[in-house]
Amino acid sequence: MSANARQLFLISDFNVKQLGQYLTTQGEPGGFVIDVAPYGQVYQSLTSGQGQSGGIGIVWTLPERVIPSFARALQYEEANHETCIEETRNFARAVLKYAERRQHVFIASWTMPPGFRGYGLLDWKPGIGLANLVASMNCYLAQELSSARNVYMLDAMRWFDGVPRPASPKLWYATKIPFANAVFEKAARDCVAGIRAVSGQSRKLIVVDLDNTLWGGVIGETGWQGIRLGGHDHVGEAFQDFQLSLVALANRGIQIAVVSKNDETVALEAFDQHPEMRIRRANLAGWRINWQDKAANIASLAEELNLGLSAVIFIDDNPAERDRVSEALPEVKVPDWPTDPTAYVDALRVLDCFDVAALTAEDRNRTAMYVAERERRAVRLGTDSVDTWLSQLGTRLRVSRVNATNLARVAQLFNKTNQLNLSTRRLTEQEIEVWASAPDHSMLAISASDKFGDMGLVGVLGVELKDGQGMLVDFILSCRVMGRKVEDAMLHLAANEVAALGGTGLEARYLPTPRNRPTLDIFQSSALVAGSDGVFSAESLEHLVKPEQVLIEHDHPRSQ
Amino acid sequence: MAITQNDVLRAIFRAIDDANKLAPPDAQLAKESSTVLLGEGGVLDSLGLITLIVAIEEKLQSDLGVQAIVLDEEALADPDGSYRTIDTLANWILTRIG
Repeated sequence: MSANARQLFLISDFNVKQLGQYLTTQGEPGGFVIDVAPYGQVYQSLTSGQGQSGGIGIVWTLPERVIPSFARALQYEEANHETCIEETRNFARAVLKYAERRQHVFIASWTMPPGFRGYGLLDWKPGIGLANLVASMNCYLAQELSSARNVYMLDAMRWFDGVPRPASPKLWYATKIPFANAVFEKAARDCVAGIRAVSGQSRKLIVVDLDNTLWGGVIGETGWQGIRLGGHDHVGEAFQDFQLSLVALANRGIQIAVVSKNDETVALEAFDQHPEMRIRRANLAGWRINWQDKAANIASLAEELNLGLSAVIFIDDNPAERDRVSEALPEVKVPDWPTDPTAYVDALRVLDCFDVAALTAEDRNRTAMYVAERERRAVRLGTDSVDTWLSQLGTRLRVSRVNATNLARVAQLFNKTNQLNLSTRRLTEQEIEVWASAPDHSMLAISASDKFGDMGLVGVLGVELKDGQGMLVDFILSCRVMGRKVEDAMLHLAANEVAALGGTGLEARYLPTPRNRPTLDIFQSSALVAGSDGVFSAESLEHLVKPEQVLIEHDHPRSQ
Repeated sequence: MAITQNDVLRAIFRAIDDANKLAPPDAQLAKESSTVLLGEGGVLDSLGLITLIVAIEEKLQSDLGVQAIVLDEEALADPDGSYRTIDTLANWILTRIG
């Protein structure tokens, strides 16, 4: 088993071995080491406090086996719904206690026995129906568990979708396995999607083709007026809905870009002029519309957007183009795509590669940020020198302490930033809070803006004082502000924090990874002095001056 | 139409295909009549064998329209009995469905 294997702890009130086996077959890099809690000891396993800590806990229970009042309700006994909710609160407390010693906990929502009609017509009546009761219990559980940042509820009803016979009564009586293999397979895939999400491995950029992908027909042949889109046409409507579903993903922070073999001017006319287009230029993070190889274009586009290829998914109706990109760029996800456009929306909706562990306002505004970045680059091309350009940009940094408002975004930066990351610590929100609040520690969150707009939270600094010496533990910066003197401004901020903590010098140790070479380049060209073993230092904090092109504002009191 | 041994074997092999998806490389079942299911030389544990038997029942139902009770406590306890190999199991199933 790989040293990178993730530790998973399964807790259930039924035989959950099939889930363990399907998790093992998901083919995740490094694999999983799976520990299954003793059968039928859910509360004991959640509350014992013993055994290994860390890893990811997966809790999947049947409501009738952990909520005694619900078991009576299933027998059509007159159930006290308040008692069910109270027992749900006790269960939630047990899960929250368990979450204190796990990096993350996934908990499956409660489901009714498959096919169970309950009270039929009355099943959604409050106070009577079982569908209503289990929904209330799930909502209450979700609310209670939301107080922990590392607990996530998974929608177990999704695991029954499309499974003709989700329950296996014989298997239950013989082995205490309540569901068919197909249900466990879906559950495992969902768990893995969640694990990728909390590991910052979700896909962030959808690259789409144009002809017969975003619209019907070949625009080079027909012009924008002749493409099949919208109107009283079931295929045109399907293409339009597909565009809307892409825009919906952009509202979650996932970017849309176009790579197409077409004449750029002709193709962009559709975005600008077709009244049924639901994607416009302002919805696109970028595009490459030319006659060149699509794989090369995708790679170029990803580089322009400062995204790794592992963040990209490519959608094209043409299987030959999909094969080409799959072969040339194995890190890019290239799903099989239906031949019928009426199936496009569903094909997009079932993709689980976009799951994230947090959603910030910045995520929702990310497309606008990319559009602004295009405008910045246009200005850069129009100026003679970098310094002139930087002065014209009017870059401002706003510096805050890590707090409840920015914690989710700070955690995103910790876990998703690879290139500009000094020590590449991967921390949960809880771990960040604990570190930042420790004595002689300081953690700053840095937001950036310029005359083109707000770039959001782009940097994190973690500084600690050890024996009077300032240590730069975390230097994390989003690539979107690279090369704008923000790097030097952050070193200046780190020096100020060390001074505020009472230190007189600053030291930083660069920990190399396969992807953070750009960090080394920054430190080597900074005012810090390079030593051995990746150590950089400044004996005098005054050497780390603020660049004049960057304005800095603080909205926090300095450390005393 | 009469159910033949080949029909039953096909249903067994389809159930084995599903089981092998979950099994590690050293616990894959060969789709051969002589493959040992129970007793010395077998690669399945008790849970694996029971889930395979239940899956075979489901394949018999879905593929052949036959409802057969294949899971049997006595057979599970007899390492030289009806569950010994794929061949003995297929023959036993044929006698059960008449």
